[in-house]
Amino acid sequence: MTEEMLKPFSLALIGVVVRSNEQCGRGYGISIKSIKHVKDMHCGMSGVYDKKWVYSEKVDINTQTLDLLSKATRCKMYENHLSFVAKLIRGSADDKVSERPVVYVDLKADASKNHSHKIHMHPSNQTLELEFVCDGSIYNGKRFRITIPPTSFTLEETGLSWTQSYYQWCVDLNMADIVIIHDEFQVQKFSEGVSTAALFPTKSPSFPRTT
Amino acid sequence: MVTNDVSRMSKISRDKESAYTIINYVPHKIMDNIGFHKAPYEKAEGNAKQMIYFDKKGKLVPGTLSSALTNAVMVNGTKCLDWKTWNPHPCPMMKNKWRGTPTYVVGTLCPGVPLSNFLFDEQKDNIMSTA
Repeated sequence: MTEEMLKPFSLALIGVVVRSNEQCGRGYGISIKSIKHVKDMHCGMSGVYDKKWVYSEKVDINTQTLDLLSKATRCKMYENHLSFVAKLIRGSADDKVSERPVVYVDLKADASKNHSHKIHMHPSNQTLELEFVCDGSIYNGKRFRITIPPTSFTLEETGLSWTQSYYQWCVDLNMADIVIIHDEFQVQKFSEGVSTAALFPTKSPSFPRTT
Repeated sequence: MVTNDVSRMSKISRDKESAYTIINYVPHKIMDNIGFHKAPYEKAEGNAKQMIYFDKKGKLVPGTLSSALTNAVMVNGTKCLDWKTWNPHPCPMMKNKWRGTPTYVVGTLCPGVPLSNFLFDEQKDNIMSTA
């Protein structure tokens, strides 16, 4: 297990333990006990993801996080069920977004099916970029660097130009889901025209992968 | 799922003692194996004068209830974790080593909640090599 294995969209088994009552009261209620990388798997694979709880691209991240942090359930010690880990979700008490949630875009859903997303080749010819074009989305007009999981294609020599056409075809037919790791710093940096590579979406076609 | 490249280091000092990395992750699924995290907790071979809940053989003193701190619950078809925590051990010498009585549920952890944690070097090497 090395740090090199812990990349965006890596899948890992993370063992967590609860901390003392004093730490829970301060919002640091969980600590990591172990990390085990799961080889040859990534989060785009069907079956490892639960779509019910992810963030939406239609509402700004700050609002969704505040909603998440205000939900009250069965906990009896605090007002809501995430108070005990609130500092691990958002470090500061102000409204500045510091969390990095996963935003899930289901292109088959009514809210997201009308779009003009485009796949571009990065000028370096090393990566692909997704230009997000969808009215009403917080990412409208933004560009994302596409992370292609190493096990997506069984042929190692699959070229980026072919992959670009393939992804564009999947997007046009709404046959792909887009998973975005939100990074507020990169979003703000990009909006000021400083950076082009902002976030890291992956695409998981909803049919068997090509051979 | 891990959502960063674990490359952010402390800018304060790059000495091994104080260097750390921040790991950002989003739980996808809550697994079944909950482990043996319980309260109260005392080591059976501990100092008899400081032991309150267990005897020297590791058996609970009558009248004490040992409780698991984590329980898996199903919410809208998704498995979540209900967490309890523990109060300080009544013996001042053992406050940082042993757990006292369990509390009520302090919160719930569900898939999709973004979390961040610090990995300090001295523990990180051990965590990653033995994981």
